[in-house]
Amino acid sequence: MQNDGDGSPSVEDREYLLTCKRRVAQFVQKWVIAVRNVVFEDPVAVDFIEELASEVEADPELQEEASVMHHVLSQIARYQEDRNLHNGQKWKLPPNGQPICLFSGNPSATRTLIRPDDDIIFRVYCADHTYCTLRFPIAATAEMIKACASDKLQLNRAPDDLFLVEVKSNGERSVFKDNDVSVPTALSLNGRLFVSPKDHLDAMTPLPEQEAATEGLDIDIEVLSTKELAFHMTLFDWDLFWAVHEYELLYHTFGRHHFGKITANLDVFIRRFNEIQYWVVTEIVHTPSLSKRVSLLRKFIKLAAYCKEYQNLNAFFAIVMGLSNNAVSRLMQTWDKIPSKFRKIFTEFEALIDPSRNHRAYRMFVGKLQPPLIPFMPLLLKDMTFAHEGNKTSLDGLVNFEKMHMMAQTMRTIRFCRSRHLVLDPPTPKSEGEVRSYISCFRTIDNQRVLTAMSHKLEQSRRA
Amino acid sequence: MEMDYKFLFKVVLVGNAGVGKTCLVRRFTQGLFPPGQGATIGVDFMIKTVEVENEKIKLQIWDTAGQERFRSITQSYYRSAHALILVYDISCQPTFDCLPDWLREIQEYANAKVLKILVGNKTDRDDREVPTSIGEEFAKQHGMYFLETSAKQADNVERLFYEIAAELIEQARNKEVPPRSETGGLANLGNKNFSQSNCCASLNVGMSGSGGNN
Repeated sequence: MQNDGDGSPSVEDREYLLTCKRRVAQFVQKWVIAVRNVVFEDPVAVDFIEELASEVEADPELQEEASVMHHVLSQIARYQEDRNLHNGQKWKLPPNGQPICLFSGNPSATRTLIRPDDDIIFRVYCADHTYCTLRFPIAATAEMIKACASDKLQLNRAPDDLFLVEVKSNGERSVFKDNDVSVPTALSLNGRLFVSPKDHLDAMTPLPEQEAATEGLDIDIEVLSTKELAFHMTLFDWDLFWAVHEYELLYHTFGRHHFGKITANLDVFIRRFNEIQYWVVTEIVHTPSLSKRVSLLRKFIKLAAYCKEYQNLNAFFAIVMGLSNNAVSRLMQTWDKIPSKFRKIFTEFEALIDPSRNHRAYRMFVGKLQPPLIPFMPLLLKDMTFAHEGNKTSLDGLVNFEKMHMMAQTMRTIRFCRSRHLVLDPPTPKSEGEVRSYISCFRTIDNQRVLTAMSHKLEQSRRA
Repeated sequence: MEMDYKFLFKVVLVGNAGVGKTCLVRRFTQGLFPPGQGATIGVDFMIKTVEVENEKIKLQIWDTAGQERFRSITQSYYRSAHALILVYDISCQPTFDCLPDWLREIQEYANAKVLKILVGNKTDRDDREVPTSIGEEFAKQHGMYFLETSAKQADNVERLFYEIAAELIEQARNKEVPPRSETGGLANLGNKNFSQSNCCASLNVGMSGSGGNN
């Protein structure tokens, strides 16, 4: 933004300089609009933008750009205001596998972003299932959590001798890297965090309550309107989707420990997919009466249809996949009793989620939709992974732009999906409050062995 | 639909994140690791036609990479798979330690007769944590064929898929019914069992021995 001090430049030079300056201002605006929070969170970037804005304003020939920069500054201000409003937010990972939520306050208030310096409260267990409750910023590393838990649980081991590990409900263990961040949000649905001596990993077993379902509201969903359920699920999922920053997909794909950046909002959205899906399976296998099971199955097919109508494709996939889960699909007596119309609809849904030819059916379908829509997130993560694993990031010291374009294309899909605000005609409210609290916390069993065993109890295998 | 092939087999790759599933597939289907310019992922990039014993075979390879946190999605891939490639990273012990969990899942979801192959990938790494003998032993215990590969150096990658194709043809011929057909029929039952009990043994003899190329 500096002019050559001496000598007056020719008209062409002045024009050229002016064009360059305009381009810089326009580029900065586009960059800020694309990246948003990550720019606003970066003090160096904010300083730069403020300096640039005052330079532009001082130049009488850049009045149009000055208003562009003014707009950028007001976005920063709005972000900081919002940030101050939610400063020191506290989250919790509830002890019985319920979704991550705000520690206190109104649960039905609109959700906000999870930020790196927000705190999260969670439990860390050891082999004998005693636990300590910790409070850490989301951005805390596994190493910090490990050291603190070891101290509180009096393990008398050097942190180097310990692992921070997740024990899933099926007994599977996965170890966190020391430099991993947003650890509590990365747990699976009914997973628990353990601290374990490195040579005793085998001694870490699931808690008794991990065998059971996660805690949810015990409501007979037959009394709730299907359309209302789909409507509030879509609003709820939309808020979660809205909170995910495109960069979280990058951190997720390359490994968040490389960036030290959190993926908490994406984690919560991923959890939601699994939650919906296992909720569907859990509810079906929890219904001993055949006739009730038949009507529940119909209800879930209808629910999937409404979610599709509302363009909540993430929930649509989750429901249909839940119904295709072995524990449900094997219930032939139940399937035989639903009207053929419903079976036909379900076959169409299955064709849509068919992963053949890299999910061709879904890609064709979604390609015709207009925003706002909630995409099937696992596929976007898969696309990111393929682009990343299949292509070098740099070649001979040069950045592989083709790879970057590929990944950007996927991230742009997310922007496209939410390029318009979600405005839906609400269905006639029947039991709004109940529906809203019900859909925000589903009861789930995520242990496939348990689900299959329950399913076998409902309907014996014919061949057996 | 045109039929330029006699057999179509569905091969599914599973294993922990980061073990190199996608690299194996890309190395095989495109012969590149990792490809540089001009390599965009097409929708059909995971199909390759190979020729074994003068027969054209289409391998449809399903990669579960990137969806490891959605177990039920990988589960839906198992359905009607002819072969399952279970991959771990020889330089990363935890990826080996998870194998029993994967096997349990395979047992639950896949056809009992599915061909199972254990692959230790990344032999180009010099920080090996899982000795070859341990992998071999594990494979033997669970009736799986075993191979170590390097997607990076193209070691054993072609061989892996060609041997799978050859074995699947063998199985299909023994059954005397085309693959993907549901009409197994009772007459073939004895035959099926026979070929099944034979398949692991013949694979072990035929393949995990000398490391020569095809």
